[in-house]
Amino acid sequence: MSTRTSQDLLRIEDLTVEYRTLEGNAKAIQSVTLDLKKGETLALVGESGSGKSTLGLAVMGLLPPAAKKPTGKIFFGEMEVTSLDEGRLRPLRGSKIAMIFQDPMTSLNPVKKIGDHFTEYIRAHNPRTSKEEALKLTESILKELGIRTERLSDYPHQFSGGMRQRVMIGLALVLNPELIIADEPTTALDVIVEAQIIEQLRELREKFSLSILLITHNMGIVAQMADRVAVMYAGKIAEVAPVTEIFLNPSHPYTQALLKSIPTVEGGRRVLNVIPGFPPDLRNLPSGCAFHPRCPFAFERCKVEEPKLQHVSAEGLAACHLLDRK
Amino acid sequence: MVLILLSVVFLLIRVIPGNPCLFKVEKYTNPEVIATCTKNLGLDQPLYVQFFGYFGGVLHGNLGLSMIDFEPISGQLFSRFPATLELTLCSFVVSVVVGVVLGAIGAQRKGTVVDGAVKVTGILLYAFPVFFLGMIFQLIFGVYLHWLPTGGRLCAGCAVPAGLNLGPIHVQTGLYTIDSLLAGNLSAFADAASHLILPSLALGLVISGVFIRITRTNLLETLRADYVTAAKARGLKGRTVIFGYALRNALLPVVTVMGLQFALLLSGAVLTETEFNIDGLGRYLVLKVYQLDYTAIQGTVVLIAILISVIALLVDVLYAYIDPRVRL
Amino acid sequence: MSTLGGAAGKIFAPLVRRGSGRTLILSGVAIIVAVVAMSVFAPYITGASPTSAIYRPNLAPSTGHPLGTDIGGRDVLARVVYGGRFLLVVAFLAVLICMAIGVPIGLASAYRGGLVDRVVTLLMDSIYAFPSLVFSLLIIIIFGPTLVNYSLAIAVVYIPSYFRVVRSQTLSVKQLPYVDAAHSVGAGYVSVIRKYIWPNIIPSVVVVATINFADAILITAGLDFIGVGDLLKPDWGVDLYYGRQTLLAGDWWTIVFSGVMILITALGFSLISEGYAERTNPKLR
Repeated sequence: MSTRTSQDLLRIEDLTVEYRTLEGNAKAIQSVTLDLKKGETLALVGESGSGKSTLGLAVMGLLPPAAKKPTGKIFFGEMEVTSLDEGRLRPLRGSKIAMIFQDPMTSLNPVKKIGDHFTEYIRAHNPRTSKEEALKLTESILKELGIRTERLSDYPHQFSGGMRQRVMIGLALVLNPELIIADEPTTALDVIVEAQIIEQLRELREKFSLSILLITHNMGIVAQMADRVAVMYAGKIAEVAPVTEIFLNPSHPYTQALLKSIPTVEGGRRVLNVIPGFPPDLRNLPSGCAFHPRCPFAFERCKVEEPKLQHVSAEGLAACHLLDRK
Repeated sequence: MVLILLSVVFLLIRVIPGNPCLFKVEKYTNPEVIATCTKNLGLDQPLYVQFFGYFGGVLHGNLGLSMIDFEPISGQLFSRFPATLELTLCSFVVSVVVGVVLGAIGAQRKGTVVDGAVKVTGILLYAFPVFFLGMIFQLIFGVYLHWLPTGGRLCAGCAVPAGLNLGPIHVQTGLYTIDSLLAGNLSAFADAASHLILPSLALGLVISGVFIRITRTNLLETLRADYVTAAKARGLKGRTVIFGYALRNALLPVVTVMGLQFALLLSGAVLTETEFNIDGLGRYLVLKVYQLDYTAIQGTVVLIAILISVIALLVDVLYAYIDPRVRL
Repeated sequence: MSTLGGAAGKIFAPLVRRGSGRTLILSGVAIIVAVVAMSVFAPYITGASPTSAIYRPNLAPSTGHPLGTDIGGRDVLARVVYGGRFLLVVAFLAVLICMAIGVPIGLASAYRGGLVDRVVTLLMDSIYAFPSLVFSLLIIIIFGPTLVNYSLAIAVVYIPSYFRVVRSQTLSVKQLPYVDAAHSVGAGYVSVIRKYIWPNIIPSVVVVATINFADAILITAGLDFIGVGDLLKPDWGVDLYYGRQTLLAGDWWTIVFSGVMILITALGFSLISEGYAERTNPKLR
């Protein structure tokens, strides 16, 4: 396992997050260790329920009340974020780490003008900013995103889905954060708008030298945006590798199945390659490797022992017993 | 909303059968008295003439004559209206303040003992007979503690506050608290206010039960909304998020309910005014019921119907104003 | 009749199975059972009669008269114990009539749709918006203060509540594709209603019915307090009417006990209503 280097912007060490439910505790994240370097875009991939969204919330310290206090540590730069109390954590949110949410329709306050979203936010972090200064800052970021300034006095419901997401991106960028966490940024948008947004994000990333944690289940945008990819399954990291390695030479059976299940236009009509079975119940995980009930290569050891992450290449790691067989 | 008025009024007038004079004067079989009564109230005309005549009259502010003293009803209602207005306004403020504050506290501390207490309080208050609560207040604060007066609007023998008198401008609202302030008479204000406290507390607390419940329910929902998480993710302070994001959105539907609460307030006002001896529309109605003054009862009910419709309209306008999604 | 069985199941299940709202429902039921028992077994609780004005008036509670005597010289304990009967019967009858009329009208109107639906809804909304006490008062004055009239007056005021709830539920279910599917294989209206709509409206109807009960108690007591009805009958509202006259002299026993009884009875039904509401609304968890 790599040790902390000065290039690490975000480092998650042995994080475990459990949710309290009526039928027992659900293990959303189990002993996850991950790092993200300055300037890189790390994609966090997985099905619904894999724990990827929870990870994003955990970094921000915004886990819902149903979540028990997480164990493990999260480092942002030199700071240990998990040890900070709310009072010291709050100023970081938005100014150092910003989040883009999945559904722009519900993520904006319906009774607040768009302009007010910005000015309130700017002045919350810098109380001495005057209204004019805040306004100027808002206008400049909106210009980057292609939103006309007349629209500042409009309300969220007057914008289209794509524009709303642009507003969200604008809000995330306006205070120049070091890290952006994008939680399924295009899932709620149609394909054409999605392409526009991704293109926009790439431009902005270039312009502002952004580090991005991209949480998604869409392999298409992973290919377009990510430098490295971490694949999650049932709350654990199954595989981590640079993007080309993940696509060209996936090591973990789950990653392989994921890639095969992407429908393509070419090749005529075929039956869809689906992964058999269902995502596991996080309250009642299978023994051994959580993926074994659905894995085409599973053997005896998989049912009994949890695989640990090990190197498959210089930069790639995977957690699978198959690797020991080679 | 105006349609509501029409429907209700229509129902009412249709519903009073026969010659009201006969009801009242059944002890007197003297045909002459009956004839005079009938003639005075215009009851010898065919029914449809009566209906349209009455309706036309209402449009002009004429609600007919009382069967007891043959005085114009509208005048009698008008003079009592401010008392009811003062009481309902005050109670309304109490109910909203108590309701929203308690509902908000309950929602924020969901699942705890405090939340349980809030829920139960809401149910308890709503189930309380308002006249009983009024009596308890009278007993405790009036009879035992001697802190507050137990009835009426002013001390016995005190003068009615004069209102504003500046040269040609005369403003006398009939709401004693405001009038005394306008006249600059602080002791009169204290007197009027002290008489207002108990009844509006009684009525206000009972009505607040509903507000507690809705505020709590709505706030629970909005606190879980995405825009609240997103706001927190921007590092906005807790208080900003609760007030500007969660509460603001939670209270929108509450406004629509306020219109219905007005009807409850009026029902409650009837009981409260009777209990506290306040000379308002409610007590007038009760008095007329004793006297079997059917035309006056009819007139009062018509007025109430008009008031309800006006309030409903105002609430709709208010809601359109505060919810940007409706405005445009 | 499977529908009745289903209905009974939905109504009584919350009493037995765990889940939110159960405490509320059970406490409410406990209260109501106690009040009804008291009213039914009144003659066994006290030997005194609530209408015989034979004692010295305005006596404070003592061993001879545990709750004192009222202004008319009647034993307060007797009045408290017998005073719920009228209210309970009126409320029960009112709820019955209300449900019998309101639910079918709601179903029919929602199903028919069109102009008929619009007109009926408008009518119902008008009644709903009007102050219930005043409306009931009006009806009582015109038709006379008999027990049945009290029930009818309250029923009229509350039919819109049932109507609205049933109508909105019916409308939302009616739009669902499986209703169309059922019709397309030849199912008639009655069976569609029985299978799909009925199970959905039962919980809401229970919530409305219990609140209806509570309000009926409060309105009837309120009307008696105003002095509209027969002032000779043993009734908590009437007690407050009389008790008011000596209240300011400090005679608290004439009103406190009867008033508390009204409160408790209304509270019991409200608790049940709130309990069911919490159960059927997952958002409240």
